[in-house]
Amino acid sequence: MFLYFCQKVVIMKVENTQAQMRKGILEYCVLSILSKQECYPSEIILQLKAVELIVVEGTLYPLLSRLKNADLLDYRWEESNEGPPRKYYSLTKKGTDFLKSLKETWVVLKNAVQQLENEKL
Amino acid sequence: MKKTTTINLAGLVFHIEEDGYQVLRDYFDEVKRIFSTQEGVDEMISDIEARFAELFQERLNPYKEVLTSQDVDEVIAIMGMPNELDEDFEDENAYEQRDFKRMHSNRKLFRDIDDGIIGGVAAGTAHFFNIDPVIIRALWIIFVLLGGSGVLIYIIAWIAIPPARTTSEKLQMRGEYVNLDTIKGYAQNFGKEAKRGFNKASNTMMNSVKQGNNFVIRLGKAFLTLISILLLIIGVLSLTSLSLSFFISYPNILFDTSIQLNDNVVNTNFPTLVDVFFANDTLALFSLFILVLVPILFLIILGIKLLFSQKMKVKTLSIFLLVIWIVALISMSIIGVYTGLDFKEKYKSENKVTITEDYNQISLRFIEEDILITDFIDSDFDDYFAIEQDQIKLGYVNVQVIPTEDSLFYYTIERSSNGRTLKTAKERADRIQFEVENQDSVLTVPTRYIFSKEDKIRGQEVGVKIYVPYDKVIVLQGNLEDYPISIISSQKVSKGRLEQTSSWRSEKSGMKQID
Repeated sequence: MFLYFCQKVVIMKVENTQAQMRKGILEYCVLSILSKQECYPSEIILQLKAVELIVVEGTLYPLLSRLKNADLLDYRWEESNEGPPRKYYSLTKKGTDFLKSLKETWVVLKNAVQQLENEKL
Repeated sequence: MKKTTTINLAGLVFHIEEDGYQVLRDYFDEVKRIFSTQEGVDEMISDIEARFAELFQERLNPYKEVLTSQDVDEVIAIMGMPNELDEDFEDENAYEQRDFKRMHSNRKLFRDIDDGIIGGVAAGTAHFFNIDPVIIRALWIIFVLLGGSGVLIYIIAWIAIPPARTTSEKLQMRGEYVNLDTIKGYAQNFGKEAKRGFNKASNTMMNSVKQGNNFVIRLGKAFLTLISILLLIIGVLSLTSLSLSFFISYPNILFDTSIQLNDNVVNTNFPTLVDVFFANDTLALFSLFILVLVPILFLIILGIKLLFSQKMKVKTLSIFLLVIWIVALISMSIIGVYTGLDFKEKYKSENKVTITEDYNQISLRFIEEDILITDFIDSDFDDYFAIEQDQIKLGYVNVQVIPTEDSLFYYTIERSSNGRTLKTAKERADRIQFEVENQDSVLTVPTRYIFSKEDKIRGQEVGVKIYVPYDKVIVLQGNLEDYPISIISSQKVSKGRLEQTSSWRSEKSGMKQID
């Protein structure tokens, strides 16, 4: 019983960090996808799944909701031939600025990680 | 063949199997609950609904018009369980997400409100540790009995642990891994249970209409359960001790039913006690047994009824028990009166013994079970009562020291007893075995007296009066501080003066201590 709990704690720590990393990046990636073209959720999911950034699709929706509440995203309705009407999300002016500053940070982070890892080698 | 229902999802109509609908409805209820604090939750849910609609559509074609519960499970697996949608949840429980193969890692602590007796804390805890709830409940009862801390812990746990409301929570509680088969199995089970529970629920519906009363009702139920468990425990314990005291006879090493009478341990059992006191001992024993047994049985029946089934029919049994209880009560009353008659007459016999040698001083010593009472024996001399084989042994013999104008020492032994007639009383008194030993100038008085068990206890008493001629001396040996001895004296004799061997001289005015 005790061993089982120990094991659990160790696993949790690793996965926890992974989730933390993914969480920030996910937000950046969603904004990044929407900066290229407006999308409806299923399209975003498709792209994210292709790069294995999300595990379950549902994760996207609270994120979209949060970004929209922060006025970073806006949406418009469009009828669809295949199914229900689609909600196309796009970046607001505020969202574009937000993404811009995120991108700067990301570049710094990416370089930092690369440099540190190369130094090690 | 399964019943279907129609739902509207993002403006599209779907036919869906009822068990699938149940799962789906639980799913959205849960999402709503988890994100209830977030702004724009309705909009988010309609987005999720739209995605569900899309994924459902992919699963339908002209030859498949109805969504099965399996379709629902599959789509939920794609979208993720409600708590997986929560970003913060992901931080804390990320290890659960992918690790589906690890059965127990999926397990969470919930209260099992379906299988619980009070609030489902024990059942939920048991699911968490994958053990039988009975074990947890037993532990809880022990905690309750050990100072009642269990009650407090339970209430805290009740408030702190969330109930398993949705299907996914229920599965997580049981540690089953959430996939198609388990949800399906659970949903089917749930459907059956729901049907059975429906009738019960409709009865209690009236009560639970007022949501505010819900907690009060549950709290009341909890107390009722607690009380019923206590009733059961008390009942079973009483029954055990009753049986032991009635049916295990002395000597028995395992269950020594010693009765503490004052300071003296009486090694006997209850039937023997009844036997030495009541006139018709077998009937008395039986009646007493019924008199005690019936209330205990009532406790147990009440406990079982409260705990398991309110509808249990106990009316006939109760009336039967009540009748035999009343019969036992009447029989016991008759025996009581009959026994009381044995105390109607009292007889006292007196036996005088003169010490013919003319001593100036005699010693009085006491012997208890062949042990001489010395200055170093510190006894309380409280009433003594023992049953040894066929004999009853009682203590203590009352002793009086009285001055006399006669020239020789003498003593009297008084034996008294009660009886139905003066004759039976006298016979009883005569049968009391008690002798004072007189050797030279030493009188040895046994502290206890014996009579046959068949005589029963009928107020048998023994008293010794020692008469001391004027100007002569009596030495009281041993520590008699607490012994029922009275010394006729002009002053009040303080008992402390008898703590050690003391000498008393007889005078006209009374006994006087000389050292």
